[in-house]
Parts: sequence; C-alpha cells; structure tokens
Amino acid sequence: MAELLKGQTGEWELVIGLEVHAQIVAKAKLFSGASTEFGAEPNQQVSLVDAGMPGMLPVLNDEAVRQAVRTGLALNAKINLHSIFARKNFFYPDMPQGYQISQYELPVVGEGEIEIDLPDDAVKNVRVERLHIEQDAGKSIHDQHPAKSMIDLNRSGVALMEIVSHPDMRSAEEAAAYVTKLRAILRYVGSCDGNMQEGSMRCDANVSVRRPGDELGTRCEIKNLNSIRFLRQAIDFEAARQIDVIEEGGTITQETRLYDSDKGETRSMRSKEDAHDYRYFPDPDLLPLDLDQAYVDALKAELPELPDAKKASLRRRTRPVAL
Amino acid sequence: MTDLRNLTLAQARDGMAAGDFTAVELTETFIEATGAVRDLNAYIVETADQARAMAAASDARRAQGQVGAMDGIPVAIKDLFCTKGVQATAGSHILEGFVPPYESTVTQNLWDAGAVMLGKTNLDEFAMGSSNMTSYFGPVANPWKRKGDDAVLVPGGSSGGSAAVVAARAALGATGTDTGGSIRQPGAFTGIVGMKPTYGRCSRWGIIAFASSLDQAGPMTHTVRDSAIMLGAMAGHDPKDSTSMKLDVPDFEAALTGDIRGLRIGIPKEYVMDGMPAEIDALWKTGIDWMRQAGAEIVDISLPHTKYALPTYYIVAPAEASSNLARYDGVRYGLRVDGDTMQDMYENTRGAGFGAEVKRRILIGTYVLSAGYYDAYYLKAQKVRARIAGDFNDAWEKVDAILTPTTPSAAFAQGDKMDDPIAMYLNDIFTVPASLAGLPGISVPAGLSAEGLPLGLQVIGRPYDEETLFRVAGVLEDAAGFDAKPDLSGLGG
Repeated sequence: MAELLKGQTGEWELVIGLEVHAQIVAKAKLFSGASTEFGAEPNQQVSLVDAGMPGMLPVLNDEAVRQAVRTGLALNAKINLHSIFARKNFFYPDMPQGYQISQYELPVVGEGEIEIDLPDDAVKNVRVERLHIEQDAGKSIHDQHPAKSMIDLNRSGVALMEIVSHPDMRSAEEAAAYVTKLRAILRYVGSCDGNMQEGSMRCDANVSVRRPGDELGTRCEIKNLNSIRFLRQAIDFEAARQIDVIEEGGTITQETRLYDSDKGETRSMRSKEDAHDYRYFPDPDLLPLDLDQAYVDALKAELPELPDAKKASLRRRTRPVAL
Repeated sequence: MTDLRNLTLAQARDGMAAGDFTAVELTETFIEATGAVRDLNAYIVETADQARAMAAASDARRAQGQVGAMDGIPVAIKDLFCTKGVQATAGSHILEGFVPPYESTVTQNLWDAGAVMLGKTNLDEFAMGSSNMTSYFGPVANPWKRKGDDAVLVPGGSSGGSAAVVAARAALGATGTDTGGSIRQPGAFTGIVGMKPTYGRCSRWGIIAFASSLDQAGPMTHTVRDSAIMLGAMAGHDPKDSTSMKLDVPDFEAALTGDIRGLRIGIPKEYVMDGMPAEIDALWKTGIDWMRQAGAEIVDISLPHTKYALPTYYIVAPAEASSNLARYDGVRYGLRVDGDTMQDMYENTRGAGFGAEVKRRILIGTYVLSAGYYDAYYLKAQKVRARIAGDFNDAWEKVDAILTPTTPSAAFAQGDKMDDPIAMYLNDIFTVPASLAGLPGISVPAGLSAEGLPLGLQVIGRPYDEETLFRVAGVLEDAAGFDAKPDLSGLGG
C-alpha cells in the first residue's frame, strides 16, 4: 500500500494518472513516407505532407496501426475494430498543418490493464483507459539566434501512441513502476524502443491530492517528463506544493505545469482559462480505420512472450518440486 | 486561324488526328486568344512559353505515333491546382508568390494525356464564393452581357476564370473544382458545360483544400462530349488520396449513345423555390419535355431534406475550411507579416493575407467546432447531411438520373449581392445537395434568359455512374441546341 503523505494539518492521499507518449517503431512516419531515423540533420526527413504544404494529404501507415494493435493486445486491452482519426486544432510553429491528426472519441485501443511490480514482490493493477495513435510535432529550437526560433521538422508527423492510464497510482514510486513496466512491455512487443533520453518515450503526469476517502482533488498536468527520475521528482515536488497551497487556505487551479529539472520544481505553463479549445472533428482526409477481427487475432497469435508471462513461467520452472 | 478558336475539344482532337493542323498551330491560336480577352481578368498567370513547349512536344509525340486522349489540347487550370514551377495562389494574397515544387495528380494526369497548359485561372479566394468577386487578384468579367446593357456581369464562382476563358473561346477546356457548385454554377452563368464528378472520382492530391469532404475536381468545356473526354483524362484512383475511389475509369465518351429511352428521370418537387424567376421554371419544364420526347420516363420524386442543404453546407464547409486554412501561418511559405511576438506574426499574417469572405468562413467554422457548440452545429449538420444523402439513395430506387435547374437566376452584375452573404449563398441552392451527397452533377447550357443570358439545367446522377449522367446530358444538349455565343467584340487585351 502506498503510504499517505503527512501535511501540517493531517494526512493526504496522492492521486496520479499518466499519459505516456511512445514513438512507434516504424521506418516511415504516420501519414507520409518520410524516414523516422533519430539524429539526422535538421529538416532532412521531411516530406511535403510533414511540412504542411498546400494540397498535401495524409495516407495512413499500416505498420503504425499494426504496432498500436499489438501494444493494445499486450496491455490486455480491448481493440476497437472501428476507430476514427480526428484533427486537434491549434497553432504552433513546429506543427505545420495547424492541427495534429490524433484520435479522440473512438481510439484504436480501449480499456486495458498493467500489472506493476512494487517492493517486496507486491503487485498492483493499474487500469489503462485508452491507447490512441497520433502525429508528433516538430521541434522549436530557441538557442541559435538572439531573436529568432529555428524549426526542425524531422520529427513532424512521426507516429506516436498515447497511452492514458486511469488515476490509479498513489505514489511517485507506483508511477515509476508503471512507466518501468509499460516500457518493458513496449520493448518486448517491439512497438517502441522506450528510449526516454532521445524522446521516443515521454510522460505527462496528472497529479492531485485529497484527504483519504474524499472525492478526487483538482489536478495539475505536468508536461514532458523525459526520465523516470524526473517523473518521481516532479510528482513529489508537485504533491508537496499542492498540500502546502491547500493547507495555507488556497485552492489548486487546474493548469498545465512544466518541470524544471535544474531547479527541481514545477511551474505554471498555462491555466485552464488559457487552455486551447482544440475543436476536434473527424479528419475528412482520412477514412475511418476499420480492422478485421481475423487481423487482430493473427497479431495476437504472433505476440512474443510478455514480461509477466515470462516471469510467471520462470517462477513455475523454479518452483521447488515435491518429490 | 480564327476558326480554330471555334472548335470544340473533340473537333480539335480529331483535326489534329487528321493532320489538318498541328498542336503548335492550335496552341498559338489560343495564346493569341488569351491576349485578346485579357480584359476579362480571367488568368492570374499565363504560361505561353510553357504552352508552346508542351505543344511542340505533343507534335513530336504525334510524329512518333504516341498520342494521348488530350494530346495537343490547350487547357486552362484553375489556380487552386498546384503546378510544379508555376505559381499557385488559390486567389489569395497569403499564397502570392508561392511556387509549388510538385504537380497535382489531376493536372499531372492531364499532362500525361498530352494536354497543353495555357495558364492558371482566377477564382474566388480559396474557392469561397459564387461570383469571383472575392479573388485577391480582382474580379473576373463574364464574357456575356445583358441585351442593351453594358454592365459587367460575374462569371459565377468559384471557378469563374476557368468558365470565362472557355466561354470566351480562349481555351478548349479548363479544370474547375466544385465544393458546393463552383463548377456547375459558373458553367450555367457562362453558357458552358460544367461537370462535377462523384466525390472520390478525381484525386484531391495537390489541390489546395477548401472543404475536404466536398472538394472535387471536374472539367469545364464547350460540350458534353468534351466534358466526357476531359474527365476521362483527369480521373483515376490515386494512392496519395485516401478518399479517392479504387475504380477503373470507364470510356465516358462511349457512354454518349444519344439514347435515353426507358431511362427514368426524377423531378424533385422540393426544387421549386419561392420567388424563383418564371423563366427558370419554364426552362426546367422545357427540359422535362425534351427528356420525355427522347423516350425517358418522367418520375416525380421527393427529396424532403433539400431545404436543409444550404444551412448544412454552411456549417460543414466552413468547419473544414477553418482547419484546412490553419496551415497558412506565415511560418513556412507564402506571405509573412512580422510582429513582435509569434502571436502577433500569426495575426498580422492572417489578417493581411486573407480577404473578408475567407475570414468570415474561418470565423463561422471555428465557432461551429467550438466546445459547447459542436453538438448543436457541426454534429447536427453531419446528421442532416446523412439524411440528405439518404433522400438521394431513396430516389435511386425509382429513377436513374435527376433533372433540376442549375441556378435560381442568370448571371448578375459585378458588385451585386456583395453586401448580403446569404443572397450570395443562395446561388448554390440547387447544386449544394448533390455536393453534400457526393453525387456527380453536370450543368448543360439549355437556353437564354429574357435578357439574353445563358441558363443551365443540371443533371444529377448515381454515385460513380457518370456514364449515365453524360448520356442524359448529351441528349439534353442535343435537344437544347444551345448555340448562342457571347459578343467578344468589345474585349481588348
């Protein structure tokens, strides 16, 4: 059991949900034929589609779908045979179309579950709410010119899986264990290399605190945590901050925060009032994604042995045999 | 050489095949004609040098016995199509100077069939309009004038430049795009054949997007036969467009049998509009008689959701446009107006780059997709759209094609309706339902108004049954015997 946090005025329970962005292992981007190799010179892996040129159209990369479905199966999740790509509209210079193609109301993968490993051989199930496929953005580089920002579109359009958990975790340790297990599963399946340093796996944490037994508190979302260490530090800092605010008579406002790993603190990025209205709607350039059950079954049959199954079979093999 | 200008596309094709004239001679005629009608402001860019080179290459191919379906035929390209190495503007300041390094699939198909490019034609900005008045590059004049009235009329829109150059016999055909009527309405206003194929028949790849679920390229020509020939060259499955249909392209010209005996032609009662001019109604009745005399069976049908088509269209199309036009942000290409912050740069660029009508539609589209309004507007509009398509599906149980007027009026004067967007939107009242249902439609010039202006009748067909559509349209064309021509004598270059 996760221990409760002690504040000045009593005990607090920490509630954490995670959104993990995992770059799908595929030779080409999600909707264009451009390469996805890491480390190329800026803007060398950009197709006309990735650059948002006029009149360009997305064509779905089947391999990205295959990897997402395999991942969903490995998470014991429901595979939605009918799913929809939607546009998430907002302006950002490294997002050339002016919208991100993602999945909103009907994701390709629905409810699933991950068993996380805790100290002393304890385990806990964390529910996965959904897994959907979406495009990555490019990269803005701010340190090469005093007044200008540079844009690198190599990553623009790369296929991501966004894996969203339920708010089932109760400590930074559990959150770390979740990401560790998820990363192991992704690596076993081969759908993501799990390399957080290169940014091919990134994590957003939704953090709130409440009195034990109360309704969920107001959450803050901490964006773009790129290591498990930072994830733990950010959650611990944020939990302490929220407890301080409430105990001093304040209220938590729903907002997006950034973790500054140099200072070891989170700080406000934008409040809910400034939050984008993404105006999601089905992307008219793409047909609905309709999969056959037979296709899903075939992928399931080909899945490699997963970490939990492997562990279980090792346990079986090492169990003392009664003679 | 002036008589070459009066040929149809089919006649020009046959004339070159017979060795009566060369592609270079034909092209020179039309380059000269382009200069002679420059007053129409129909082109944004003329590509005479390119046309000459393409014509010479066509003659060389012909000498080798390798001739495509459109070989040596000079055509104009709506400036919504991206053309490699030639500016593509969508009629907007925001794309002024943009030279695409790629060629749209439809235009590439035309060049592969041997066609010759005369230039890029003017259009309503981002294809948003029914008058060609919203172009950053100025309005296009209709070559037609009212009897005894020198007022300059609109050619319709958004494919107004394409319509004007064909009507003025400065091109043998032109590409258009039709989102809610942008080929058929200008076709009707200028006395030419404007054809929108089934959604998915032509690739949208490389066409600057307005409303992705509606946009469709099509031919604008003198005759139905020309239309069939040109669509055959434009159409085809394209793996680069996920919404393009995996279907072979039939020989559309072969469908022009002239025989519609036994075909059932539907007449939708909901297309009788209050306040519709009597001459439009009279022309429609005449068209019905022509169909009957040709041996078709006339069937009264009902398309009960017709009255919701226009409001539905003006939710769906702006919603998609508001998203499609987000990419014009000043970051990568086209106009950039700097500002102190990134936000300022966006606002300055888009403020200066887009015209009033485009801004209006971006605002409408943004609104109908917003949190709290999505269900009431966008989602409801999608449901109504499905009902409208359902009306047509029901109709196809009883009929093989549907006959309606193309527009509720003849061409109006430049400047009219500009202060009343709703009056302007009503131009598309008869064309929008087929657009929402993704159906093919064709406008055939069928008569003259009392003021001496061309009027069109529209045939709507089953999805992917352009062959029946052309067959019916061909009979309509023969019966109408429309041979009036605009007086070009007042034009200069």
